[in-house]
Amino acid sequence: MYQYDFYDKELVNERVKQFSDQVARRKSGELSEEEFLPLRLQNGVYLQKHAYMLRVAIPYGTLSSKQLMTLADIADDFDKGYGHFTTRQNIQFNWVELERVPDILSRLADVDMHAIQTSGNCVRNVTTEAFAGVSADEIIDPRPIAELLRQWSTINPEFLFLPRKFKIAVSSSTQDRAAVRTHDIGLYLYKDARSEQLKVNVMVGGGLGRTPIISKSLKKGLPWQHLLSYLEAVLRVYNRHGRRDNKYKARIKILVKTLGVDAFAEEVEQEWLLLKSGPTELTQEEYDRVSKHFLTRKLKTLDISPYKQHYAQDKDFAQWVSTNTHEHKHHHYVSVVISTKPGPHNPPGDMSANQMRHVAQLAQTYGFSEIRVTHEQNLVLPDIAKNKLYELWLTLKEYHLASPTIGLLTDMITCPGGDYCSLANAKSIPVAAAIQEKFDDLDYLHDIGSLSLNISGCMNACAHHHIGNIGILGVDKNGSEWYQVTIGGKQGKEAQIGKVIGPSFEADAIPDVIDILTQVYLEHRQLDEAFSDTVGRIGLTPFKDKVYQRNDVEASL
Amino acid sequence: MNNVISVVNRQQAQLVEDKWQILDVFSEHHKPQDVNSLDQLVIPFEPWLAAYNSGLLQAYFEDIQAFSIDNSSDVNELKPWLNQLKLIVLDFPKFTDGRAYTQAVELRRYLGWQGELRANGDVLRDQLSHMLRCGFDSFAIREDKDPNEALKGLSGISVLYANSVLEPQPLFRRRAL
Ligand code: SF4
Repeated sequence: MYQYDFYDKELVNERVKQFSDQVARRKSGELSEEEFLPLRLQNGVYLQKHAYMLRVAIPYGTLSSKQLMTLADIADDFDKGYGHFTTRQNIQFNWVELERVPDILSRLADVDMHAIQTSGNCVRNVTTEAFAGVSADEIIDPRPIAELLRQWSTINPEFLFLPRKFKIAVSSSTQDRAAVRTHDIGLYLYKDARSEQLKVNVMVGGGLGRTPIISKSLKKGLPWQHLLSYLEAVLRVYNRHGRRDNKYKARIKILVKTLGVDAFAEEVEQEWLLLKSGPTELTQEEYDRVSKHFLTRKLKTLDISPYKQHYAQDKDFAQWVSTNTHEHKHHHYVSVVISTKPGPHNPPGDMSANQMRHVAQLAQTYGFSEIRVTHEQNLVLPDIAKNKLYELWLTLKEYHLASPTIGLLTDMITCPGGDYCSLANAKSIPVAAAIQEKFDDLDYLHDIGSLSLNISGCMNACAHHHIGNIGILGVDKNGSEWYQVTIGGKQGKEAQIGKVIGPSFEADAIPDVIDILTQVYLEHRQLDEAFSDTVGRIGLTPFKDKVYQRNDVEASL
Repeated sequence: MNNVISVVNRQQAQLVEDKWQILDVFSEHHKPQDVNSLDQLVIPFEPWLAAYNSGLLQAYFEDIQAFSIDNSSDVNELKPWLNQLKLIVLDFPKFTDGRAYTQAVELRRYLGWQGELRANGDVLRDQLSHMLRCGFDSFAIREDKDPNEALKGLSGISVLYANSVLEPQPLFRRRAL
């Protein structure tokens, strides 16, 4: 993991002081709410329905046990004893008091963490996939690049008041698990076949929200040394020309769409030529300095015969292994995924302080004191020896952290929705709970297999409903809460936006609608065809017909 | 202009008596009444350029020494006059509109502007350090704010990773290992 040195520490410490002063000036009235707003947003503080919320950055989703312990303490001391993990690998505390935020930030600073730029119209926390550095299908570890980007974008003075927020994601494995193509800038890292050089394919203009767009290719084969200068050029062009008259048209995706990606690329290229070989050109020395924090662990060859035995004998264990572990570079190790969605009682992404402590402890005992947060709002123990897996599983079960449902329908991505968020059209947590309740039969879930279900409480699409195999969107109809359903979306390199199946539904109907959709899928599925492929092949009609012919599903007109 | 903070030699900041006045309405025909000469007058660039291009510009206005420019304009257009200018004023219509940061960087870094660069408009304490780093060296603090308080905003956070106009080397090239 990246370790702060003097400079990194100094920056976060000064930032805490700066923000406490700003909070004090807000309290005294010296700062108006309007003047204070962007300052608090750039320190992660939102005003929600009932209280302030603090979003803490977890850079590229990586946490140490110590850091997770601190988050647990914060949940206990400043919130109601739990935290909410987000799709961008951050954590949110929903019930904080503004006056106490500086204290929270100072506790975070003590363990090399911060909330800088987790909100606001600036470059946000850089994300990558949860299995970075350990996944079997990885081409190159994305974390050094992600850390270099974190540093470069932190309080970069020219780009703190952009037209709108700006999100960057990095992926460098065969499969894209970082939703790269729905980001303002998406980076695919790869090794040049001939030169073995690290290169970057830059994607631009992805984003969901009101106008969902899958990003387009902006620059192919960019040598990594030029990454900062190239992104600087992109941001400069965006800052210059991005729209500021309408917040819904202010994201870079709209600029790219308006100019056309070629014209946009041309302007970026012109800008880039001016700074390409300047001081921002990254050096091997700096890359090495950062990447030495992310060295591959020396893992041992193990006797895994006991593991094989347990796997053969214990059906429940085997099931959990098949859903909740991810293939590791080293055959005798796996990455373990811990679900934050054990059932209807637990809002997706939420975890109690005690559970956090357990996970932190388990990471210490069984791993290398490291934890990851996934885009799907789950936690990962990245390097677990197979011969310890059974023991770990038994312990996880004790703590109710062994729900064997990763990647299945109930592993939903859900935004906080109307229970917390003031922008919401509808609640999403109760809908998620109702679905959990309906689909409590593990065997049926496994029959359906891998399926993503995403629930957003409004058009802002924080839960990425557009790219869920099944997407649910809260809509407002004359003051009451309705839900629109899309199918056929998917994430990854071939990301795709789902299509609306028809008129929206009341909350009560949603579990049944999903039930019907899965039945139609199972009826038509060929071999192990994925849900989105079946939709692609047979179209919407078979799904629509079944869903809307049912009388007990109350569709509005 | 009132409430002006000026930074000399990139470090000494002080409140100054400022001689400049922004000409609110530019008309190519009329010499403004209340101002003696162009060495006190900031001329809005866009209407000036339009008059210049159409040949209507009164001779009096050819020796301008200071321009203000909209944040939606291309600062490259200033190029032909940079040699005769003493001051360029960039505009923050709202402090959340950050276009002038980029304009400042372009002027300093690419157009080699060495003269005074002033932030005007919704210029507030908590953004001053960012402006300074992007190359501004004078700040017309919003009229209702206490400029002495605002002065405190100039120092900002001492560590910055990226390079800036003020510090052209990014931290990774300066970092003591
Ligand atoms: S999708 Fe809408 S309701 Fe849900 S968290 Fe985002 S803004 Fe709030």
